[in-house]
Amino acid sequence: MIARVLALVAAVSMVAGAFVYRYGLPGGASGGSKAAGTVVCASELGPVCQSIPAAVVEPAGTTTDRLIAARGPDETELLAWLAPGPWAAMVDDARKLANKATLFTGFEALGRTPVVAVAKQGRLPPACAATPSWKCLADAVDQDPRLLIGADTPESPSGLFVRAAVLNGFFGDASYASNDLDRAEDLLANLEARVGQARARNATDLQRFLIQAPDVAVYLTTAATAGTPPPTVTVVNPAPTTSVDAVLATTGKLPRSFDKEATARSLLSEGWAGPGSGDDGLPSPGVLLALRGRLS
Amino acid sequence: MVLALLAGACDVDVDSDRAGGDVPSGCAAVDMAVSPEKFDLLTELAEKFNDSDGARKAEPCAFVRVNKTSSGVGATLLADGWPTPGTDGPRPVIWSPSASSWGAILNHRLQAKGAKPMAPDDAKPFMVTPLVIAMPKPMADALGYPETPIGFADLLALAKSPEGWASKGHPEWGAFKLGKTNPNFSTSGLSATIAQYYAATGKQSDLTLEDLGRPDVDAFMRGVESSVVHYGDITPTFLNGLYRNDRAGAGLTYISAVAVEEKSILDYNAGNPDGILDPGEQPRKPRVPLVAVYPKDGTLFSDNPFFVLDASWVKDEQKTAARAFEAFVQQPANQRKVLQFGFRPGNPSVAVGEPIVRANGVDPGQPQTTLGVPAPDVLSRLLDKWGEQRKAAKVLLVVDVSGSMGEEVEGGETKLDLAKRASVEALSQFKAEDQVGLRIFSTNISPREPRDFLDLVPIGEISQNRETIASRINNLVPTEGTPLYTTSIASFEFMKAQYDPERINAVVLLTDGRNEDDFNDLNATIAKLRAGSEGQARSPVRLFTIAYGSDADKNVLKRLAEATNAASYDASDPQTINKVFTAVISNF
Repeated sequence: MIARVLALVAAVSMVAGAFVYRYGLPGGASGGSKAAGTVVCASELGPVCQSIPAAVVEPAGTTTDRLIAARGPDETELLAWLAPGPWAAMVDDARKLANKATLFTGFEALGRTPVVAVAKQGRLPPACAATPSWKCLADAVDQDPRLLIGADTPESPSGLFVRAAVLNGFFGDASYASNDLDRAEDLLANLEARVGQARARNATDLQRFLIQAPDVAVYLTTAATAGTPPPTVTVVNPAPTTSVDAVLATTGKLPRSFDKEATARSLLSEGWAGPGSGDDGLPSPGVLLALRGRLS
Repeated sequence: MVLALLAGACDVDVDSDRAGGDVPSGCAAVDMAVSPEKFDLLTELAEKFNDSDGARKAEPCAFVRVNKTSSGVGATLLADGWPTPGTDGPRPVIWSPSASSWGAILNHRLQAKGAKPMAPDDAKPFMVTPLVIAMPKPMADALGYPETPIGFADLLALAKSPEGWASKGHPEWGAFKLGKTNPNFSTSGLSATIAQYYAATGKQSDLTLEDLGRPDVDAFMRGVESSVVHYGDITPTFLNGLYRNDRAGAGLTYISAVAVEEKSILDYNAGNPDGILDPGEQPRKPRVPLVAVYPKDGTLFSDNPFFVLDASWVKDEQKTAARAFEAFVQQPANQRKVLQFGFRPGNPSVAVGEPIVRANGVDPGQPQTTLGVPAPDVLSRLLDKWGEQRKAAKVLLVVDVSGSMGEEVEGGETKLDLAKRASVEALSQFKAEDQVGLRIFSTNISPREPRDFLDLVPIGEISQNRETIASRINNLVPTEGTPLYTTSIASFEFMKAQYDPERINAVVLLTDGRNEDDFNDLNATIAKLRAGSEGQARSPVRLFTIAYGSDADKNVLKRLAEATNAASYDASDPQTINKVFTAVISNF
């Protein structure tokens, strides 16, 4: 009898475990459960996600890993995903690489924000003071070990894209390929060393950089994240402009409850600009995927 | 033993990826297991076939699905009755390994079990590519190729010359260095070894067991093998390394020649050394192109046969459908497609053309002589002999015993438990003359300076110290942090200090973590490793790294390995550590 009860408990546990595995809430979820036909919103978009009814909110990197691992589109039950940057295209590239079916059929930018350098007054590298550019920042990273630059971790969207912007400076533009990244090995290593030192001196995020990290000169982030900073810092937009789009990627028909206009308005209120017309200035999704792999 | 090794052989990867979708109701399903290099092409052709009248209007209709399975893995699975279709893909109706020799090996294994053969001996080649010796163009020019034909005996003479390339007017290139893949793992390596034997005997077919036992043949084989820089599990190990050095302007100092398929020359010269363009990757032509040297003694073809299997799970209607697909791919229009992938058409009525032209470093008029595939028993003995003749190795195994190695993985075992078992099993892959030592590392593990590592077993012949190493490995326990950089440099310099020019000198370093040490300067670490490996390093030591578990710093380990012209292996999933150790040891 006891054995039967134990067997029943084990069976129920297995079913429950399978259910949690299959439908379990992703980390940090604040919206509805991941039932059939979900809309996912990247937690890095902050309050913008509140404009999407019943959205599952989770970090873009978490969604990315989950979607890459999924065996097929049916397993994801995903209808749409709003994230800062071309994460959905990166997922599709990763799936192609693994000979898996791609997931997304539509991509639409609902907003755009440039990648910027937030610098303490007078602390930009001298070569960047007059005409800030990603090249002079890349050169400074390579040549000046005293320059401490803060940035979010490369697992985050802003962290990944600011590194891509620095690489734009190194290569001259964003047309470099993933197999060119070997040439930037030393730059990437130096950049991670500077960022690591900056983090050790409290610049673990923009707010701490502003308040608690006097040794750290510059923090790389997006204009939307920088918002309106205090007068002790300047926000510069290094050339060539590199931007991040808030991309709504869809796997089919968007649910009626999704109000794109409301989401776009929410992006504007969070410091994003409207959708840009030209190229975002980032390297291709495949390159970003490779860069993410190198930095992880 | 040899057949077991052969059965484990693989071309590139062992994933069983598949394409094709669901089989329409009432149709005969034709599942294919194909070697990775033709997966994309056959997937495209299968889709075209499935949409054709020939497939849809047949009775019953035919539907082809393509699965990617490496040749050696396919041979193993088939010999075992393809026991796990859920994991390895559906049981195939058509098996297309990279070369017919795999079919002979499969049948030999089945015969040993008392089972009937599965691979028919009349399979047609789908596409072909000859084995060639790839040489940087300036080196082929220095040897007077193609006006002066080159054979393995010429390479042996150059390898034996104390002057090396100086004897050809190029002292700056140093010694002649041959790259070759392990024939137990790679079709190229297997074909190269067969071709060497033919060159040694002067034959072009019908290699016999007696031939293999001749002392002069043995001496020839040992001579060629002595010029090998290191072996490898797959040809991209060499081609990626050569390409990386080429981009740094040092291609001519890395390797003088490497045995590869002709297709690989086309890929390399197009700027795609491993033949796969990943998303985000763009071809970048090398500074110095490769030239395909077709050995004057003759060569073998990888013929990519279509084996319509005589297996219990294959029904007659599936065989009929399979033959319809085979006829479809042999149509000239479809055969011309193989050219786009750098292969030659299997249908001899279809002319060889672009990109197989001289301007791309290959010669459509070659090879003049095709060598015969030895009989299965000769093939088995040949691999046994190669195990004795290959260049000996001198290897320091460096194992991370930091605290994180004590983390549990599936089944209640720790990462260290799995690594211990895999490394002990890997010891059996060394040959008796190989010299192996064991070092462990973790913060403060040694009571004396240097405190980051501890030598448990001094380097000595594995025939003498195999049991000691195994015993010491089995007693390892996890301790503190991971002084990765100091240990890498110290182990590299330790091996350089006792470099043996008659052996492959290497460090195999396994770690599950990131550097956790006061010395945290990756660039300085890389610089030291590079400085000891650049140019005509008199004492080249290669640091092969294994990234073990999901927390291992894969990118750093890759950089450390590549700084010494070696490779890094990914065992992110601890359960794969056995397979990874096997791949690493295949370099020796």
